Amino acid sequence: MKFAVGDDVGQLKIITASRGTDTSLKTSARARISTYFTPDGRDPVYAVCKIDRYQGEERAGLVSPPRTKAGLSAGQLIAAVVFTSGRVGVVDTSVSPISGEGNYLLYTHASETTPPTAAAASPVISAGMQDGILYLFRANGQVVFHRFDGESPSVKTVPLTGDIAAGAVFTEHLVNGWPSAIAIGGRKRDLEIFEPTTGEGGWKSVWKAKNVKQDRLGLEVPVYIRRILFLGTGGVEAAANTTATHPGGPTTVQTSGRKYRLATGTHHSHLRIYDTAVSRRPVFTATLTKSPVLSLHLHPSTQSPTSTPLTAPNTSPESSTTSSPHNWIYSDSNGHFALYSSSTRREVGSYKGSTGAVNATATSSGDVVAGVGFDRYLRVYEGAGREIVVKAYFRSKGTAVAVLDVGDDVIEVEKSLEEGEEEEEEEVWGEMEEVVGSGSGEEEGDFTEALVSVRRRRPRTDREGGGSKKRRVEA
Amino acid sequence: MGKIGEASTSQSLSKSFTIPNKLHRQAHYARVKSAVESAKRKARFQRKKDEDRNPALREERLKKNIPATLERKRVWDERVDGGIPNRIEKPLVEGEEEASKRRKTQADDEEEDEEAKLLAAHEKAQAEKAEEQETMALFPTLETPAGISTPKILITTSRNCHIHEPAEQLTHLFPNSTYIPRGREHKFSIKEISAFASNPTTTTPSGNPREPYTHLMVVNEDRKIVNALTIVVLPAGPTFHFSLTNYVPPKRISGHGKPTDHVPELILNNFLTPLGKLTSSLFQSMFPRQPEIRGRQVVTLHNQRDYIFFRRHRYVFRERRETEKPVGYGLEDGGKDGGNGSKGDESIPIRVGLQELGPQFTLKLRRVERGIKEGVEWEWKGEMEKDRKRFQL
Repeated sequence: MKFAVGDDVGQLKIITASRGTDTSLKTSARARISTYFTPDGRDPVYAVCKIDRYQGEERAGLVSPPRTKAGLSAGQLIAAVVFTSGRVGVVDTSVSPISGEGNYLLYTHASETTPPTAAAASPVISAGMQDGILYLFRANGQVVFHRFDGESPSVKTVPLTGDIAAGAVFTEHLVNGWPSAIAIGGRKRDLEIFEPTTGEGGWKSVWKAKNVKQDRLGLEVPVYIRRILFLGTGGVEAAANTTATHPGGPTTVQTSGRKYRLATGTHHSHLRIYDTAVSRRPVFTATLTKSPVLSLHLHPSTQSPTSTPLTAPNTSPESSTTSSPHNWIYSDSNGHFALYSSSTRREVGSYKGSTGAVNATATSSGDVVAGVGFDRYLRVYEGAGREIVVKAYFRSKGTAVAVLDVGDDVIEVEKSLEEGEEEEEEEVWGEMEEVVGSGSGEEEGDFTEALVSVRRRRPRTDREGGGSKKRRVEA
Repeated sequence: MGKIGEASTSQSLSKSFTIPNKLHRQAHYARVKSAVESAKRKARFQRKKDEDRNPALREERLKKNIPATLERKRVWDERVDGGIPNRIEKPLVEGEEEASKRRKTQADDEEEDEEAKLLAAHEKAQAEKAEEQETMALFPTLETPAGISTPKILITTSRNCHIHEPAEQLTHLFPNSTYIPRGREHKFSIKEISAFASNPTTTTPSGNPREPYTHLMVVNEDRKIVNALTIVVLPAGPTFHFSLTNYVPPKRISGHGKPTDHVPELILNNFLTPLGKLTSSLFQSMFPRQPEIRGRQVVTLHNQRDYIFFRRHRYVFRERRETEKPVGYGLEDGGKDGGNGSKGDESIPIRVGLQELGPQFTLKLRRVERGIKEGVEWEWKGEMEKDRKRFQL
């Protein structure tokens, strides 16, 4: 399995690990990590995405292009990195980082504006890749799109005004190859959707959300949107894209005056779902935890048919439930990383293990969920039981993650320095861990005993002149 | 009362036989106990006689019998460079070493080894740079060169505080710190205090603009005893929450000295994991980088089993008296030889004399938060202590 992780000093790490790797155990297989970019504390990575089509060619397959060495079976996976300053870089992950930035950095785009101080004032607040378009939103309202599948990369900038804290793009329907709608929201700025006006020129606001009703004390519920997702059908379309954000593109939305469905996660830990066809207020709202939501995705198991209404009509958003199963993966700033179902209004379960906030999560087809955070571990969960399949230490604090490849190499051609003769043994250990699942706790205990000298109690055989009564049985 | 153990009274058949008659049973156990004890005593006296005659035997015995402390049993932790020191080395490990050597020679024969080595070297270099960058980004006072940066610490207390004196004593601990009591009517929150501490608007009496503070320390009180410390690195830095115990004021330390204003030297012991390094960087950033050697004062922060011991001493180098052990006696060098450590270097005629100054206390890191209390980076949870051999710092 291959993952791309961005950290808070601006590095991109490609981590290759097979299922069952748990690097906190001494005997587990090691993950292979290659690091790109020089570390710079001022410019953390905001998002990492996988690029499927680059310069007209499909790049996601296990093709052995001429540049890689013979014997390596790695595919030429391209990853795009978005830094918080607005800089975008495209990296060829099959090229080793030792060969220098000239070789692995295929494309780089610094934000057009600015001296670094201004860039710091307007950091990237939302970025990702959807349907081949890389987008990034900045806090001052500037939106930039990149496309890489043409002959040469192309860029488009959309200036919006105001202070925003979240953004998302609608890529099902494209206008000239660019998204046909964008949604933004922020602190005290409720959700707003923009569409491009016909003819060149600005984008106009087509829909603005209304806040939920006042709470029981008669107070306004504060607005501070942190994450926005456009909703649509998950499932089949998700298989082709494995990106750092919502995998599926929405299906065709009929009628003019296009209708949208969106979900937001807020700083006050609300999950809200909006349906522009129904009303301006959210059709669903729930409070997840007490801390701000850091990341929000739809779990691949979600089904979301657009023909049926999302929720039963005329129910208040505080008590409505989505009619089809929607499962939301979210993480908050207190270290809570869990799965919430809006159809039952309950938390389905949590992704255990992190000590510290999980900064970024990613999903992929095949039920794989990956999370990185401040505890410097990449944790990958799989399946309905949310079991850990990979737990890899990568030395710096993660701020972004993307799943590049879900398959495991059957024959490991590359061997790390530690393995070799003992590789078979390691594989046995690796398999054992798979079977046992998350029984790493007991294993740790076992190894500790093996590595530590155990003072055995001296058997009581050395007493002399033991007393008149003959001891009949050993103590 | 029911049966406590599965004791049986059939002598020949059962393994857990006990004497049924209570008086006989008790007398029997008493005899067994005294017999075992006398055998041990006899062996001890014999051993002492042997070792008095031949000290080499004692050294050998000490080398073999390494006391098994929790520090030695520490669980292998991949985040610490080079594994954990002070491990009890067993013959098993020697076997593993040979096996790894065999593996290495085999791997050397393979082609991809070159690239793997280069990659490993590259990764290591990147990791070092990354660590440096991380620390710089988190602690601004460590970034500027040693001569220039001076940390400026603002000490205050929790709300409704009653212990201004002990809080004020903390200003003597950290050079360049001021104590300002927490407001009574308008109680500023920590975020508010951080905001105006990092951007002061007032000017000093002489008319110069005030320098911004670099750290904010909030002393938490419980029933007139200081019990916790929250340290916020300004302007946007991480927040560290420690619990403070065993505070001993200077008056209660016998033979204590009176501290002076000199900038102390800093000793940070045993901070191994990334979290530990983060904490040690915090302490490093709180003291001025350039110590005044003339003052001969040293502040020690010693981490053991996740407890950080804070001590202050004044040291002096003096001639070794006849009765004293040589320098370096008893120091363990990484447990490589095991035993009770080296015999010291007798050729050096100098020893260090220490006089303890000032208060001493114990800290335990409880929570690290990103920013000023936004987003938990690490929190102590009870389940972390379930495995007594796994430490976080």
